[in-house]
Amino acid sequence: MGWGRMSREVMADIAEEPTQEPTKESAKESAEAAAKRSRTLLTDAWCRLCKNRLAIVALVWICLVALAAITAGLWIPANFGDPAQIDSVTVASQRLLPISAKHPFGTDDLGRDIFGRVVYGARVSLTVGVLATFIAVGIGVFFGALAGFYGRLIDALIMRLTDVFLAFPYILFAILILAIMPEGFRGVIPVVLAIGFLGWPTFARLFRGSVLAVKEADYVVAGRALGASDMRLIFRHIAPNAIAPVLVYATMSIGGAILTEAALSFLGLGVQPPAISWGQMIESSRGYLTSAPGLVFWPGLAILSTVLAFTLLGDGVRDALDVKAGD
Amino acid sequence: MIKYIMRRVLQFIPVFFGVTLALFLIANYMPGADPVRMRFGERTPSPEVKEQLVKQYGLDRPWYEQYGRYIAGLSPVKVTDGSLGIASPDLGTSIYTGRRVSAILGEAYPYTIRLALLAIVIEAVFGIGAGIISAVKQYSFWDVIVTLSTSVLVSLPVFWVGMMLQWFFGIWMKEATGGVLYLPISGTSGIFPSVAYMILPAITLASVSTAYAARITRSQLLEVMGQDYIRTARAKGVSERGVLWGHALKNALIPVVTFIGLDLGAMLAGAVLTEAVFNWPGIGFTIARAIAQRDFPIVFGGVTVMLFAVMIINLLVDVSYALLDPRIRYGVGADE
Repeated sequence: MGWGRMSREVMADIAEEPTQEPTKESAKESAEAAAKRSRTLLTDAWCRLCKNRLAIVALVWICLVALAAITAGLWIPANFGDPAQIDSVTVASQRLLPISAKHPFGTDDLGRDIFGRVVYGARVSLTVGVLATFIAVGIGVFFGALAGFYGRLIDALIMRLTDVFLAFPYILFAILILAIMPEGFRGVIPVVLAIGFLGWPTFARLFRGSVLAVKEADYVVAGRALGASDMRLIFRHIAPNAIAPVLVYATMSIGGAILTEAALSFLGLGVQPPAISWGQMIESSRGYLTSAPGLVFWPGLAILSTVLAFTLLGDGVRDALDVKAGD
Repeated sequence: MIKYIMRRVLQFIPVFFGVTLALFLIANYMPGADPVRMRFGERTPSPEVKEQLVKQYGLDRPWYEQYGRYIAGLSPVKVTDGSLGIASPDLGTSIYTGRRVSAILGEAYPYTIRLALLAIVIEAVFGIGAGIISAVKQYSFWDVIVTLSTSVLVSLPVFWVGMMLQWFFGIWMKEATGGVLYLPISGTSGIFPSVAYMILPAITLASVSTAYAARITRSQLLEVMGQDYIRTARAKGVSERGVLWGHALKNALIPVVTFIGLDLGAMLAGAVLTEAVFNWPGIGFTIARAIAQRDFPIVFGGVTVMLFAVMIINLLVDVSYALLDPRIRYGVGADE
């Protein structure tokens, strides 16, 4: 359903898991970490992540999907045919073919190879997921830093603004914004902007919370005493120690953004043909559920596996960075 | 107590103005938004007609005056006649059918409520049940199953779940079920249509929320089980069963109940996708169809109604939460 609904639960989620973790392994790890003082926080986290098998499987899967999406143009058209091409010959002869060596997932109602289309669809999904999250993180961290660092009126204003945004399942706002766009203004860019713009409040709250937590730390006070500017304090001293919850939630919300894009495309508000997106593939195959369920099944499986990978990776990153306090 | 409720209601006011202002700006000032075009759908009005409409609806007035009219239009008292159509109390007129949007939505909402209530029941039973099992038997086989399946559930596209359920029960298992789970509800009427038709849409709608309910139940229960009063109960010889049902659940379930209450709002959003898949004639389906038909007044009116419903549900849940849990009322964890 997208990260709008995820946000409040995930914030609770990031803050939870109280009784877990302090196992023998992690105790041993911290002993190891103490032994090698030269390692940074990030390499430490990376080592812990590597020991989480589920997270590594997820990471490998994401890399595979990304690699396939990037190189799709090199091998898909040659082996499986042009995924967007429609002509009378292929429509007549290749229509709704079953699974075979030539067509691993079969062909769709217009004779196009479903596997090729699923691989091409990954381009839109990953682009939307990553770009929308970047926008949301950018806006959110900016406002969160302002609110946490300056406090008082600015803080109150920004927090009330996030209240307004978080009070709702934001997909409703996305539907509204995209529905009133004129006909020619559909596609990846409006979807990215809508999802990114509506996703920032959670990041703002997370980052504000962590800024508040480290703002009074000795090294920040020392920095200020030495005459560092506000910007330098925020970005050099506070941000590196306050970014962990944002990183965790960003990983998960890439998956959320992919889900939202699929939902919007399913409603006809997202990517328009001949561009290919998983949600739109499902939407255009609705009529074939009885005769050829594969048309619906494969793109959906692609969404599920990719989103699940980001969810599991997010869980892994959370454990690795040892994020306990959320908001 | 009254003080707390007053504070909550007062906090509601800026949210109300924020949301109405956002809706107003989206409808009128978003790049690409055109209130006149929104009332014409796919047709293009002639310049004269357009000019007349701009005058009639006061679109040439400054924005604050228009916003004032819009707010006035939302109030039960009809203050002005020339308000922008989609913002008037009856939400304007459908481009496609020419009927009042409020009448169309009025017919649709009982279906949405019925579906949401059944979904809530499913969510509460299975979510809380799975959460209790995985917390009580922490790190067991069942805990791993529950934890993993919640990760899968929250990663599922809702509309795809619906279609796969349709395929599995309606087509693949058609003989076994007699098609009873798949048939569209067009043939039924009355206040209580056959519950069988509601099962698949309700499961679809509840799927994601059930996972969250299970997660929250698990983590809350684990946290409560580690508290001193539970240790005390055990020390005086209460059985494990008695500890769970008599002591731990009472406190652990308060946040879960709140979550499920708030989730009623989230379900309204999920209803857009679920109802679109199952052609369930609720508000979500009405919105999805209106999107396809470029029937903007219905999209706008439907989403507005949903947003207000969510807002009121959230307020009610907050207040009842305070009634349930004295710690909140006396301001221990008051507002951040």
